[in-house]
Parts: sequence; C-alpha cells; structure tokens
Amino acid sequence: MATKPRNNQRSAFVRPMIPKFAVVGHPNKGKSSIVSTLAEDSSVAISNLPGTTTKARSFPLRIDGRVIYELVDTPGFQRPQQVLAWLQAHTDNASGRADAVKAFVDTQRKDPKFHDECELLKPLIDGAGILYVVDGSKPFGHEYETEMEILRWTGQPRMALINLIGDDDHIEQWRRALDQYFSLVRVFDALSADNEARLSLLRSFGEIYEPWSVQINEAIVQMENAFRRRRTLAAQETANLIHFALTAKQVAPFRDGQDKQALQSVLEQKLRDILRASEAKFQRDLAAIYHHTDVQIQGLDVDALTLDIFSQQSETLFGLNKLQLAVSGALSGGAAGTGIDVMVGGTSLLMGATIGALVGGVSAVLGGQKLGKTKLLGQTLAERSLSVGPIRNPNLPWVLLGRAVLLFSLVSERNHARRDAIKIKSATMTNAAGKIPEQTRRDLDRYFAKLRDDPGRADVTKLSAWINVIFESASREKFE
Amino acid sequence: MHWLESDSATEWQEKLTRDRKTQYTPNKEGRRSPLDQVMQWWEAVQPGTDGPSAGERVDNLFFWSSVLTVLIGVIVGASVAGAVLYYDGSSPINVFWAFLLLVGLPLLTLVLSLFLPWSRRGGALSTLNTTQVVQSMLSTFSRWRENDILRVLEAFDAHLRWRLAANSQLFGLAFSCAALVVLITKVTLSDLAFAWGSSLDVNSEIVSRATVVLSAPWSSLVPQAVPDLELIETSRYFRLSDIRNEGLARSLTRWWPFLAMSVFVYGVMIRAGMFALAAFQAKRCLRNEFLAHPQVVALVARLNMPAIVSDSNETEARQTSPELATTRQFAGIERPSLLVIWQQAAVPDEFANVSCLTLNGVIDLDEIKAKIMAAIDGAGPVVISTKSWEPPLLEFHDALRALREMCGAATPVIVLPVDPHGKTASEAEKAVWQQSLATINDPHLFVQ
Repeated sequence: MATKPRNNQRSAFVRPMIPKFAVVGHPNKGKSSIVSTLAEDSSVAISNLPGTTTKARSFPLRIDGRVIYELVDTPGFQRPQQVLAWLQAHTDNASGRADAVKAFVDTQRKDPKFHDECELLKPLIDGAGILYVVDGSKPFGHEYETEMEILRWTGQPRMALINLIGDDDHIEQWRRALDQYFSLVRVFDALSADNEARLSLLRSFGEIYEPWSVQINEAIVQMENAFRRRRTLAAQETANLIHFALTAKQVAPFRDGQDKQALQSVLEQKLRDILRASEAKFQRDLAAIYHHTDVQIQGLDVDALTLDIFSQQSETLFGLNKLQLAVSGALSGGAAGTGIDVMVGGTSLLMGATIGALVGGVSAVLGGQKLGKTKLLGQTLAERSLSVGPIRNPNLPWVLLGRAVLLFSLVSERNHARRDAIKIKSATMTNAAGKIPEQTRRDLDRYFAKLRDDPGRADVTKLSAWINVIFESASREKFE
Repeated sequence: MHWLESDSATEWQEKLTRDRKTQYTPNKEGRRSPLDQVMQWWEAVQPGTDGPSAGERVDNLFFWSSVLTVLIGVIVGASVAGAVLYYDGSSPINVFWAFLLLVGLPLLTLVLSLFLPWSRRGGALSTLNTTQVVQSMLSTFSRWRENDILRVLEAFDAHLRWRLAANSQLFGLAFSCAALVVLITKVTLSDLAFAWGSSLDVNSEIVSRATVVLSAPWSSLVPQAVPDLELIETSRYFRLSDIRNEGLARSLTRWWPFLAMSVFVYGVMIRAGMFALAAFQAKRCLRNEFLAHPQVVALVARLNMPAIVSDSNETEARQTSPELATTRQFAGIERPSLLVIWQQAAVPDEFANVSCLTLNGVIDLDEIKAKIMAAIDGAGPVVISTKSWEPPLLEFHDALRALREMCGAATPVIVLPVDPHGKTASEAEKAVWQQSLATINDPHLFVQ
C-alpha cells in the first residue's frame, strides 16, 4: 500500500525558489478549467474532446513584473500503464524512483507515443509541485491508481483537487482513495469558484511545501488587494459614466427662422446616441477590468443589459419607482419646476432646450431683439446657440447605476473557466436601484442634483465611494 | 482634460497597457504625488495635437484678459490721479477728495469684489457666478461655443472664479500703482499744495484723530507721513480766503507723504495681498479640480494599480477537432464474437449472459493480442463496453489496433459507452467517443 508522503520529504529534483505547480491528471477532468480560473485567462482551450491540451503551458502570476508563483497546464495521461511498467522495469528500490522518472523523460521525449506523458512530467522534474485533478462527480476507478503511483514516484509535494463537473457526488469515495497518495485533498469547483474559493485554494498551495508558503501568502495578499482595487476601479468607471450622463450637453448654432423643434430633436437624438455608446463602452470596460474579453449575457426573458437605457422597461427593471423617487426628493425642485414632462418612466429626457444667451447678463436687461440689431466688430450679436441637456430625468442615473450593479455582480465573480453565456432572469432585478438603502439613495440623489447644477462642486470620489459600497453588497447577491 | 475625456473612448486594456509603460520618478521624499504622476504621464503619452486645446484657449484668454486689465487699470489710475491732483496754483488740492478717490473708492470696490469668488454655480449667488457671465459673453462668438470649451468652464469653475477675482485685484493694483506713480511724479516735479475743507462743523482735532488712525500702519516706520495737528490746523481751507503766504504754502505740501502712504498701504499693499491670495486660491483650486476630475481620478487609479498578470506567454497549440466520426449505427448486434469490458466498465444489459474479456489497460500489446485471440468465438461483431464518462485514452486506441489485428479488417467493432449502471451513454458522452475514435479512420468501427 502506498504510504502518505511527508511535506519535508527530500526530493531528487531541485525545487525552484518561486512556487511552481503542475496541474496534472486524467484527460477531461478540468485541469485546464482550473488553470483558466486561477490564471483568469479565458484563452485557455477548454473542450470536451480529450487531448485538447497537447503541450505544457506555463502561467506565471506576475505582480508589477515580478513572478510570484507559476501554474503549468499539462496534457493528460494517455498511456499510464505503459509508463509505470517502464519505470518499474528501470528501478528496483524506492530511492531510485525519482531518477527513473527523469530517465524516462530523457529517453522517451522523442517518442511520439509518450509525448503527453513527457510534457506533463517535465515540469515535475523541474521541481514543480503537483496538483492532481479528478472529477468528484464520477466514480473512482482503478485506472487512476496507476497515475497516482507515477506521481508518487516523483517525490514532489502534491495535493489532489476534486473538481465537480457533473451533478453526482462521489467525493467521499475519492477522498478515501486520494488520502492514501496525497497529503492534501481539496474540493474545488472550477466553474463556480468565486474569489474567496480561489484564495482558499491558494492558501492550500502554501501548505504543500512550507518554503513556498511565504510567497504564496504574498500572492494571497496581493490578490486580495487586487480584488478590492478592481472593485474600486469598477466603481470609479461607474461614477464617471453617471457624471458624464448628467453633465453632457449638445450645442449647435441657432439662427433666426430655423426650426427650433427640429434642431432640438436632432440634438436630443445625438445626445441619446452618445450616452448609449458611452454605456456600451462602460460595459466593455467593466468586463475588461475583470479580464473578461468576450462575455455574452443573455436574458432568459428579456435582454436586460441590452435594453435601451431610455426605455420604460429599463426604468422598471433598474430605476426607482415613483414612491422611491418621491421619498428621495427627486420629484421636487428643478425637475418639477421645469414645466416639461415630469412623468416618471416617460421617454422624455427632461432636458429642456434653452436658447443660448446673448451678450452676457446685459441681454437680460436689454432684451434680445434690441441687441439683435446691434453689430459689434462686424459680428451680429444675434448669433445664438441651442443647447440641449443635461438630462434631467430623475431616473436616468438610477437606471445606469442599476445596470452597472447588475453587470458588476455578474462579471466580478464569474470565473474564467466558463465559456457559456451568462443567463439572467429579469425577475431577480426588478427595481434594482430600489434595493439600495434609503439613506444612501438620499445621499446619491442630493449628489445627482448637485452634479446637474454645479458639476465643479460635485466630488466624483464621493460618488465612487458610495458605489463601491453598493458593489460590495451586490457581490454577495446572485442574479443568475 | 479634453484629451482625457476623448481618451475615455479608448478600450480599457489598451489604456492600461499604455499607462503602465510610463515610468515615474518619486519626489524628493520618495513619495508619488498624484499631480506629479499625472504630469509625468502626460509628458510620456502626450499626442501631437492640431492647435491649442480647449483648456489652453481658455487659459490664453484669461491671460490676455489680465494683461488688458492691467493696462486699463494703469490708464484709469493715472487718469484719475492726474485729474484729482491737478493744481494750477489757484486753489490747493482738497486732500479729502484725493483720499476718497485714490484710496476710498478702490477700497470700496475691493470690498464689493470679495464675494465674487464665492458665487458658485447653483448656489445662492449663482446669478452672479462670474464664469457663467463669462460663458454667456463668450457664447456670442461661435468659436467659443464648442462643447469642450463649455466643459472646461464648468469643470474648472472655482479656479476660473478665483482667477477672475485675481484679475479684479490686478485692476485695483494697477490703478493704485499708477496713481502712486503720478503722485510721486507730480510731487517731485512740481509743488502741490494740499488743504482740506468741509461745510460740516468739523474741527481739527477730529481730523487729526482720523489721520492718526489711518496712519497707524506706518506711523512708527515713517513718522513724517503722519500729519500733525499744526498742519491740520493750518491747512483748513476756505475758498473765499487767500493763502498766498509763502510760508503757509510751503507747509501745505506736507500732506503728500500721508496721501502717498495711504495709496501705498491701502491701495497697493492690500491689493497686492489680495491678488496673491486670489492667485494662490486659483492655483489651489486648479490643482484640486484637476485631481477631482473623474477622468483624472480614473487615470491615477490605473497608474497606481499593481499590474497583476497571470496569462501565459506561450500560445496554445490547438488540436484541430476532426469531423465527427460516423454516427451510423451497426444494425442489430447479434451474438458478438467477443465482448470486451474495458477498465471495469459495467456490462450492458443486453449482454448480461455473454462471456466477456476484461482488459484493464495496455502494458504489453502482445499479451493483449494473445488474450483476444483466445477469447474470440465466432465471426460475429466485437463489442467493447467502456465507461461513458471516461474519454478514450491513446491506450484504448492501442487496444483497438490490437483487436483489429486479431479479428480481421472487416469485422465490425462496436464501442458501447455505458454509464455505471450499464445503461446507454448520453449523446454528449457518445459524441466525445465518436470524435476521439474518428482519428483512427476505421470504416468498421462504430460507437453507439
């Protein structure tokens, strides 16, 4: 019976100073998914077809250029019994086992029959620790014992990861087998692991080989900081989007005799298009902050995040309802006083078109017509401009914020092993902004009002801080 | 700032990569000030631009307006001083008027200007917001109506208000300096007689007390600039009286130091101090508003975010997936010539009573062939039961090759992936087997 190894077992292979772990195992057990999750790399090829990974590929974790630890994705065992037979034929005692493994790689590397085994054993010969991956949703089979025996022969520090690909549970059966070969056995669902699960797994890495624990701990601290910073960045980008949306204007020259309504419509459309494009860009940026470059989001009953931000449906899903707006005071003040459509949920942007002033405050005294006939330095002072914006619809910032919160909660914890589209249900997010605590809503509403009236006084870092807190709560809520 | 706002259209990863390439030099204390970081970043990434930016245009406008302000202040100050200090010898200069126009009036405008920097947009004094007034004036001209100009005026409202406040102090400073120069020049090059007069019942002691109070800032430093009681008494003037006495005329010139020091202290020094304060506030507000601008806040965060990269430097060597193997089915498996149980797979229900050969992997191909040869019974198809959830390894391909050698090239070989209970595999699992075994390119190999 194979004995459980000790952590400080001497090895024939020189272990590198920088922690290095080779992810090994049977094909199709989620090795590449685990690497993709831990390395936050969506480009790692993941497929149901066995043998997708054909070459050992290194994923060093670098922080400001310095490598903290390294993961190596490897091909799966293809001919384990023949390999073990070879090894057993080339050594006759335990002390020579590691050398036998090295000899195997040295002599068989050119044989295409053992290409995959050489690729997966090479990092171990270079001193890497072993992360052996199995599928805990399928029964244990005796064929795995051959692989585990080969790995044991390397003498390298090792731990087993029980991945969960299917719905069945054979974890305990696996534990009983794996405990005999590995000092550490952990369950890790590569597809659903959140940030905390990843950090927990990293902590386990530090237990495999004690000299590596310092750097692993440093990696954990850096990753925790990185998660916080990303959330801060996401909050800042959201704040910037809202800031822009509430201060954006469109200005065009307006001449006597020109159709004001037509020009106003053109400018309004232009402003809407600019804001839509800005929000689309923001969504891409938010995904990119979390290293998701090609996230597809599908609504099961409505495509929530592709709804027009100015639509009634968006307001219903993401904005505040009338009662909440009233409580927040958004229906008082400037919005109600404009005399323009204040219907909450309407498509009106409540922008109001203002004719640009003539020469300073003087025009208000003298009246436009009088100055219209005056010339100054050859220029007619009757040149005016039509300015549209900023948008005063009180629900617009809430719609933007609600959509941002939804997107954040979907991408911030989504791990990179998943290749499917994110599917969301509209029922889980109706009145999303209404879930924000009332005091925070009031603070935000005051801020939005200040932002519209005097952008220079609105401190975007405060808005960013509030949004950061909202995001922190949102990350604990699941919309999928 | 305009460039930063348009840079918001750049994709995130591209911005991050570009910004991280910039090297930063900490300050003398070894710290990174956000402003230094941003300015060093700007030096590194500054694109070539066609013409001045919106911010530069506004800055230039304010600069030249301050130059114009100084010029106007000098002209007005010199003109007022020239008029107030006009003396043709017929009657002395009324020192009250001179003081009022050269000191009092500028002080009054100073007090009135103090609230201007505080007239924020949207605040109680918003109608007096100086940048909005400037914006309204500028909007007369089409080249100043652009969106980026408006955004600069809004984003740096506090800075521009203080700058306008500084300009107003510049006007007062220029006025007072010009007035002082005119006074000194006239005093130097001609004789000026000063007197004071009023229809009010004001005695010399009251005037003396007032001048003592007004002279307090310089009384210890320049005592001769403090009018004494004798001068005050002798310089009271009634236009109907005659003061052609030479001694008296000489003494009436002694008011000029008081007037000069008043203009200097209450005009030049106070205005200079207010200008310095306004300029300092303008600079402080510029810094604060700049660093508080959303795009700058985002930039500083990107610059200070540690670069955590964990993707591979190597490219994936992707294996091309072959066309799905034949999905054709072998019609009706009759009594097989051989049932192989691969790696302890379950026995399919329909073969429960069929004897089978168990193969647990391949070590020695010859040994496998021998076992197969011994187990084959008849000319029927060969059926292999496998674990559906375990994809075929190359080891299985080796076994298939050995089997093909032993049973003949045309013998149907049917691979039956089954679940742990011997039931047929799912379509997805079957597809994995079909794809993998397609690489063997055996027309008599079936997966079902």
